[in-house]
Amino acid sequence: MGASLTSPEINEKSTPLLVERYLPIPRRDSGEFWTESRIQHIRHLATTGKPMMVWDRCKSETNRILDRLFFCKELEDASLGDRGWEVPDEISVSTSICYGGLELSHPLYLGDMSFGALSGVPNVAIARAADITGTLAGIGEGGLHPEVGKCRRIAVQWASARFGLDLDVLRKGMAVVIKIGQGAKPGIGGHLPGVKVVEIISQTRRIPVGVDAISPAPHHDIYSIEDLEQRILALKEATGRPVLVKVAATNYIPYIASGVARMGADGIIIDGQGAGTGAAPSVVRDNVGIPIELAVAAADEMLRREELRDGFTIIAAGRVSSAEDAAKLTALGADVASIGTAALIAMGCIMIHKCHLGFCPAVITNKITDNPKKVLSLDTATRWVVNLIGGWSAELKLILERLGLKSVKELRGRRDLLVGVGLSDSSLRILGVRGVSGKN
Amino acid sequence: MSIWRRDIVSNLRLLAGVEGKTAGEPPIASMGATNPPLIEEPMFILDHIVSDGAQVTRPSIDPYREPIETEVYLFGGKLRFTMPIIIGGLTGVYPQHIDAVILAGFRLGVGVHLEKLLRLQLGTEVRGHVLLEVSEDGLQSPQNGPLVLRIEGVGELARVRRVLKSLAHSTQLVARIPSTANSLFYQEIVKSGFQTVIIDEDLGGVEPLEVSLSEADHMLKRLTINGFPARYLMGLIAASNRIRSSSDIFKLGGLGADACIIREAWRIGVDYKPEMPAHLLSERIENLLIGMQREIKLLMGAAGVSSYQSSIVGSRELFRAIDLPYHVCEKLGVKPAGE
Repeated sequence: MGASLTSPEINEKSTPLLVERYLPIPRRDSGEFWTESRIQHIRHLATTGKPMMVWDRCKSETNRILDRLFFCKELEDASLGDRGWEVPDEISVSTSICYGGLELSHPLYLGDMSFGALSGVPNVAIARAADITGTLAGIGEGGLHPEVGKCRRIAVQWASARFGLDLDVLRKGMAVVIKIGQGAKPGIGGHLPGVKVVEIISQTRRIPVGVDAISPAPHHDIYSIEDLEQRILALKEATGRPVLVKVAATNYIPYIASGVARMGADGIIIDGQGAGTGAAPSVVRDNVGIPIELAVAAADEMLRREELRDGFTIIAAGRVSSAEDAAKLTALGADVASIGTAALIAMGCIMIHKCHLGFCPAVITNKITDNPKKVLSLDTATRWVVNLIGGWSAELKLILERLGLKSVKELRGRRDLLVGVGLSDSSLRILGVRGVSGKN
Repeated sequence: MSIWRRDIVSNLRLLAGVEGKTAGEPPIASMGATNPPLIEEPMFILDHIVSDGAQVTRPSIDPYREPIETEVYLFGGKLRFTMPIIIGGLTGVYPQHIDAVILAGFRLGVGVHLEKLLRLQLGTEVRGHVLLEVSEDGLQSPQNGPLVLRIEGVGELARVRRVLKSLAHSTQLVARIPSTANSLFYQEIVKSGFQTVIIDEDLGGVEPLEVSLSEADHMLKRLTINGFPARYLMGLIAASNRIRSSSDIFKLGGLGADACIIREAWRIGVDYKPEMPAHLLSERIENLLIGMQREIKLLMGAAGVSSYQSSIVGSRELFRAIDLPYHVCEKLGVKPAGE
């Protein structure tokens, strides 16, 4: 009976088309942070591995607080007009940093995108790129993809649903991330729509096929800062790895950062409003949380005041789109910038906001099927991400060189190098940056 | 630019079941937000306000698995609405549809504001959920539900007070006023015996709704009647055509509104057409209201709050303002983000 219902073509497997090229960028008729020129810039970095610009030209297109922050040096450079300045042939600037016993060649963290939200190949590409470039990749909440597990430079996430976690998995990475919140949905648990929960995801996450995987909003064993301390210590003891705590940027971020530092974590990942997500209720995504630039500035200020800043790492995430964004966040107090969406764009994302439906035209967030028509080329995707990091780092070096700094470490907390243009008095005070009135 | 951005309209229609297949469910989105004030152009103070997500130092509440109460009470607990939403803007709605709207609201325990004097055959219980607008003469006949009196300026209140004193019956009295932050106006309204104020931006006024509402809430908390803050006895309702979504309602709640009257929003959400069958209209209104209530629950859960009226209404500490000048933040009593 069962056999007669199986049509022959289901078993017939055709070779899927290997995706090695970018799709055209669709025209948009509503507001978007990831504008065409931002996507083009990332594609340039990802295909060439070479810098495209020093100062981020795309920032004039959007109105983030970060877009209205300038390095004073850029304004000086602009006043040079056509005479401009020469890009030196050789730049001796260091972008490597060390935290919690981890050495990073570039101050970049590849942010926490789960297996399930992404369709497998992108997860592996990101983890391999982290190995190749000496950065660190967060694996997200969905358990460990077997191929990702073979990479060394990964951070294993311990989130509220504990999908697919055991001691062995926790010890696989170089760090453990306790995920409390994420920028796209602070106070809400992870959400993988049932349509994307196929057999392999079901096995990795240890959940039933076809059912929405909605993680609890809170960790049911972390209801206070004291609870958090117990978990941090237990995870350190069990794994011997540094522990990072990932939170969303919210009202009390300075106090949360201070609590996280005091409770013995090695660092905090702060994820700002507007950050990417595979699925979130739009009402929460659009109305909860604060921008990363304000959160980093406020958290850094509080940690310094409480003398907790030394030896503690701040990783800034959420709409980090260019080396200049990363540099400005560093000047506001971050150590490392996290890139998630930018890495997806490097792998071909065209920002159509349909990840939750499972029909990603760039085959990055599509539903995993047994017989796919096309799949992302792992080699190409890995190369794109490696190049992105190379080009990004080159642009960062150019910025540091313009600023007259020898290393990225020297940039941290240098708010004096920044100026706010047309920002409100309240924003300037939080940022600790002087302001000038808006440009006409 | 229209205040009805495409994403706002689409969200309402997904909730109402005009679009999509998940009526009544909060719409899911993916990748980064594009909301104002940082990406889309901000049009109102509300667009600068964000809500809190509880983390670490305070747990969030899981709205899918734990109870969250959205009910609000007016008239000292005598009138209960299941959610902080009141349907208004029935002017222009076809007479054969008004009953459908009122009944849809009643079935869900949601109030309806009727601006026009209409001769309706409403059952006692249903009437109790309708905020019925009357003229001063209309006050004379006893009613088994709240009565709304429109008051344009503080100068009218001396006369109104005389009329109210002469009433032979007691009734639930609501004043509907323009958007004003004039504290004398509110004091006089309290003294006149009103138990609820509708601050209605569509009646005009000099201040934005956010500012009037917040100042009224602050003022009524300072003013005491028989030793109690007047705010305990006095309901505050915000009304405007530009209240677009559950998040607008939620933020106005934070600034002091016990409930909000939505007008254009529900008509757009249900894709109102004069020729639509009444049963379709009620179905869509019910979907929309249930959906908006669920969205409010998501926002409450994220903020770690389980009771709307006791923990959201007037609870400015749960909110922050993004890139709003200090003097506006101070007027609202909302801190800038990062503070």
